[in-house]
Amino acid sequence: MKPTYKFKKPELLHGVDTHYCSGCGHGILHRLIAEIIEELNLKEKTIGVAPVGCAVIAYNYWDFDCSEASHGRALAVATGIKRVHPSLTVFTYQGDGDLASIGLAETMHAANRGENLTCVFVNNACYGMTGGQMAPTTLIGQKTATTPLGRDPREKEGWPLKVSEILAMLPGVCFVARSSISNPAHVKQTHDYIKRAFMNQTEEKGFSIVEVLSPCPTIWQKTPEEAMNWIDTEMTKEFPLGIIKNTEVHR
Amino acid sequence: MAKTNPLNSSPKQKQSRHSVTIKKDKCKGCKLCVIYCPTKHLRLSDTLNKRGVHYAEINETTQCVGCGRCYLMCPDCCIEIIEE
Amino acid sequence: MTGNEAMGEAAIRAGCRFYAGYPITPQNELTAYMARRMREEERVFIQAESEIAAINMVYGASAAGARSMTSSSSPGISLKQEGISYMAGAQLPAVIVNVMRAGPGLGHISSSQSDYFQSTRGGGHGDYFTPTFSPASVEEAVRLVREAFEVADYYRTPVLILADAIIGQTMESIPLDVLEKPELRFKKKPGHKSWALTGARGRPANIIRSFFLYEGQLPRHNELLSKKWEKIKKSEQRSDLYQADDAHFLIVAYGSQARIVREAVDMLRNEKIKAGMFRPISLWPYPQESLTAAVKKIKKVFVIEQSLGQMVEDVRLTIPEKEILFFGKTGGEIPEIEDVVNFVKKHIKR
Repeated sequence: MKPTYKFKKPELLHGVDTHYCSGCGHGILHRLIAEIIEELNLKEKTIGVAPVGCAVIAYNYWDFDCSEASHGRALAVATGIKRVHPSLTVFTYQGDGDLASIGLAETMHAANRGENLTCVFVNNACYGMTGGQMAPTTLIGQKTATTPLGRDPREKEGWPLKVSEILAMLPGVCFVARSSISNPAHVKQTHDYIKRAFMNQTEEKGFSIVEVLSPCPTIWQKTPEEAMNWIDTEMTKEFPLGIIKNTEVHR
Repeated sequence: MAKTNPLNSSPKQKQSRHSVTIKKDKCKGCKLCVIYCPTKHLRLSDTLNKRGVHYAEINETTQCVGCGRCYLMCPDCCIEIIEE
Repeated sequence: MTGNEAMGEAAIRAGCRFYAGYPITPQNELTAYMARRMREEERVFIQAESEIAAINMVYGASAAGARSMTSSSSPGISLKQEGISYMAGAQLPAVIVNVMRAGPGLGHISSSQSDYFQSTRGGGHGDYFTPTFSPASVEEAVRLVREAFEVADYYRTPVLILADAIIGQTMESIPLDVLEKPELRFKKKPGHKSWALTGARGRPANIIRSFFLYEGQLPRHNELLSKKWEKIKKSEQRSDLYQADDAHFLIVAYGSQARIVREAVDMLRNEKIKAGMFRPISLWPYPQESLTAAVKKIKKVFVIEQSLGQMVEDVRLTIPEKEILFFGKTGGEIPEIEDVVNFVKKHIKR
């Protein structure tokens, strides 16, 4: 007799081992996205765009159409795809360096055009792939490869950039939420937010973004458990969780 | 189905309706499943898997309640839960 | 029609479904034309937030299977180079129009030919080339844009149209049949783009990528690309001759400069000097075969460019045994017909 699964790996997630470090948040998020696309029955209608960063080869793990994008340009690439195929569901999967630093112009303008896109914004407060440099979202006092004494606004290293709050001000944006994956309840919440963001696109509501606070234990030099705790105790102080905007876009 | 250890099981304890499967060699030993398991049904092994890490394994002295927290937290999707 | 507008119309007639652009002089008429006409045709026009965004939108549209185009001028093309490199790596077809202006830096908004190296040597990072076609008239610009779309699809590569401010802003009439009944370079219509991102329905997932991290992957990919470049080098050389049959002296020039040289050849002929012109139309691949054939009976070869001497290097590489004399003026200054005539006369008297 076939076993009945209560919790089962989604079909859209290939069974291969990922290249991510132990305790990396990308694995959880990849699974969530695969689950959501399955639940919404969108496999044949989804195109993912993953730009430069640790997750650039996300297509090795997902079983639907995907494109790479150069650093920062995921939302421009997604705009091109979506305008050619308005009936398909197009989403980007971007890190903080990508979305909030080098790609800030593309982010702002795709959102401001009200592109009917879904953006999953993975915030781990650092550049993970390149060895842990300061990101726009790096916390004050956080030590990175390029802020060895800790990020210090007095040294003109700036403050953590709250892109989600900024995007929420734009009329083309219909849904902005921030969540984390620091514990099972938060993972479930993240699932619900991202699912909402996908459904908004199907319902042609406009630009949706979900910012997810995600651990990078390797760069943070913490155990996976400590990393999850650090999200709860430190990151959420600067980046509070919850829905920031949820509205119909007036066209 | 999780087997109960005769040394620890009380006669009142029911058989669990859930069983956890772990793809041992996919596990990177992050321990998140162990930390979030409410019944301590998971633990890290004493031995190493192919990756050279102490992997998550079943602790047979306790039972799975099928809450799925381990599944939710596993970054490598190596845990699944079967309902009997 | 101005050259800029004509290139836009040619793109639309070639089935361009997606255009993204950003304002920069001297190509603004093309963007404005597309803004109006693409809407009329119910196709996609986007004014992007930057040249970088524009090329990446084209990357996306091309990945989605649509014939796509962007246009800009020199500094803007510099910004697009990363995207063009990604497209070459990911084998995405597109047509990119460069209406050249003078550099370096902000330079000047007037015509120039100083992006020859950038266009013919890849331009961005990595081992790649982009087929580059250079029109010398508005009519030819129309033909070449059409052809560029076909070459792009056939080989799965970005293709450059290297025009300049003179071609872009010149107003010339175009024979209607050039627009309406174009001669097609490839008899077969490009097949269904089975590699494009259209949703994985009834087929395995498609991936658009230029990243090959695992051992041996990138060398294999680059070898595949290299074979493609070799095939293009063999099949896509284009050039034109003027008064070259009995010429003793051959002047090599391309694009708008070829118009000046053509007049110079006529003036020299009036003075009984047997001059002729060789005009490369494809700058990459450089028309080495036809140039080699054209110079067999030639005593001296002159190269005229509106740059400090860029194409002349390809001439030297092609016919190293010949005496090659270069005359160029940089952007901001257009060589006069008399300048060319005098330069040739000065060097043949010796």
